[in-house]
Amino acid sequence: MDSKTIIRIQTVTKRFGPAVAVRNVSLDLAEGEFFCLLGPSGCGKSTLMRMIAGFEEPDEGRIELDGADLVGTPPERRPLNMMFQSYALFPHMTVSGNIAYGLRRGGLDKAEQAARLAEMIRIARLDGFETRYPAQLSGGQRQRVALARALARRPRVLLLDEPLGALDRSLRESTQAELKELQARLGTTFVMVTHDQDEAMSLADRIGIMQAGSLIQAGSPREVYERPASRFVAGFIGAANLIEGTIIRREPVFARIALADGTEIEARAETGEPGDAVAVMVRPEHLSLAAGDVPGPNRLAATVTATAFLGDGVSIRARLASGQDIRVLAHGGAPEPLRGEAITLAFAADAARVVT
Amino acid sequence: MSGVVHPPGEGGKRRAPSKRRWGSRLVLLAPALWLALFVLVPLLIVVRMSVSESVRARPPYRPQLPASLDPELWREALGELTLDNYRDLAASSLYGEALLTSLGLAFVATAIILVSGYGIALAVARAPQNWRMILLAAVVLPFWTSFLVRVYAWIGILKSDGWLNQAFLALGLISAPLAILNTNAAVVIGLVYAYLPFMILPLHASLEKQDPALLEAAADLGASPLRRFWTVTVPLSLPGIVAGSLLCFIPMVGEFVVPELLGGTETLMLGRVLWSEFFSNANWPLASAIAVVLLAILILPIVALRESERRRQEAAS
Repeated sequence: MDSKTIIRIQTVTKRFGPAVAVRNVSLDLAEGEFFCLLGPSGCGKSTLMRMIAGFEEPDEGRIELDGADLVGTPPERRPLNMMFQSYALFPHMTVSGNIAYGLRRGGLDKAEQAARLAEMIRIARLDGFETRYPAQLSGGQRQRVALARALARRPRVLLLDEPLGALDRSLRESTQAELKELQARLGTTFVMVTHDQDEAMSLADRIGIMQAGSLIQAGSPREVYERPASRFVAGFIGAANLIEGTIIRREPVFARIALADGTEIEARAETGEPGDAVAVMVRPEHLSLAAGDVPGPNRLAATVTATAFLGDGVSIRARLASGQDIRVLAHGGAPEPLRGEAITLAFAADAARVVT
Repeated sequence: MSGVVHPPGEGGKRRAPSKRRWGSRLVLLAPALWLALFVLVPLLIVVRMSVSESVRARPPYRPQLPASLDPELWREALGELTLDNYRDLAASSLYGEALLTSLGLAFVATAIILVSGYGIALAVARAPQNWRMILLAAVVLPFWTSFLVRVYAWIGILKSDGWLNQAFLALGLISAPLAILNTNAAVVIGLVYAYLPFMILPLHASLEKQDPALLEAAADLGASPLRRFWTVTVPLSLPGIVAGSLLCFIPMVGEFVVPELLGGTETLMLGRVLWSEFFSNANWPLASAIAVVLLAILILPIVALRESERRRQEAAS
């Protein structure tokens, strides 16, 4: 990202009583990007977003918007808006009333307000529903009202708290595409909180992964998928096999790892010294079935425990000699191994990563 | 409006088999019987008495309805029914004044109760969960003491050498005792004190269930605390405001104990007039007519309110 920083979060910590909800998080958000805060429930991602919105104040650290400290500014004076997980639509106001609520104090005259309202109604495809009350709308329509209401003030940053969480699966997928398209068209910075890694992968320019209040890694979907910073990230983003072992030799780019049964494998490594207990991450799609006894590097002996035909490939579950289960996604017309069959799995050292 | 599909959850979708409907009718029969026995029948007796004539006899009204089913006797008895009591009410300015005083004092007291009760209800609803029950119990606690005793206690506070005047004198706020007792002001104070819990409870019920995210959303959209209060909190508590106001206003209009103990000769409220017609003048028919008029005046706003509510809901769907 070479565009300028819009929000700078500096060493922010938030405690609720003895519990630390957010622990020493620092993060820069670039103008116009779509950023996803991803993590399991209770990881502090919502608290971090609520601090950006102004509903919570950090105990330590600063949150800056365009270089100015936001801490102490009440939510009504922050030039950013939030779309709530529950939508928080005003039940006593119509669709128009909800969307126009934020425009009354937006420094716009009556004509501009009306024009903006009409624009938001059109963007959210709510034409004909202007005089309906929230209780008379479908889930998808409510979601669009909430989005239109939050966007009506043209916020510098739009915060979205699990915006698609209440939609059913099919609607969620089409709404994802709309959301992404809308963000690209408006150019507004979006910060979204989600626990759904598929959603984060498909929407975000960058993903920030949080665990137990800490920000573990922030990077593009490809970065966090290919170069996870920890076992947690590797397991949370996509499916991953984590093979336990010990580093026995370290080279500039690669490391040699000995597994418990004496097998030696090679993987890319950015950290770790000889003697360190580490895990080697191999994605299921990077494992392939090797022909019988042909020797070579990075071979793992395994026994098939289950197979499933997926159409475009075969999903295989196998057990290593160490007893660890491993997942393989074999593509194309590879012959489907039988349950109980002894197989040899191979992978490229480039596709495997040492994680700690 | 465009005729799009009906929102889910609306429109007739259940049609229970008739057997089950008989079951539910049976369940409804018990409250219907209760209402008929303890509301409708007494009301009919009062209405019938209000169109009778006061006499020095026992019972002190006529005509008596015949014990037999002879149509001649019935025709004769019904022919004696009269609207004279209502004419008397309309002719004498005393009753009109009493009605206006009652409505006025009840209105002022309701307004004061609404404002102060709203603050208390809001404070309770926003208090930490474990405090709410304690605070609500404190609101209800006075009910453990007799209403009469509590109102009587106000005499000791409000009289010219009472606690209030002594406190004001000691603080140097006044130089001579204020005459509060036996004025309309004392009646309003008593009414506010006595009826405040009836406002707080329904208000608290409607405030407590408001989603706090709505206030956050309003703040997020640039609304100041005051604007959040007027545009979100108040409109959403409207059912509580209406319920609380009716619960206070209606019984206060006919209130007898408070004006009797705290009011003066000027405080001519309908409850006192009714009492004196009934017990001092033994004019049961006139007292009944007063009761019927009062009932009609108090029911009208409720009917109007329900009607407008129904229209609003029809317009919305």
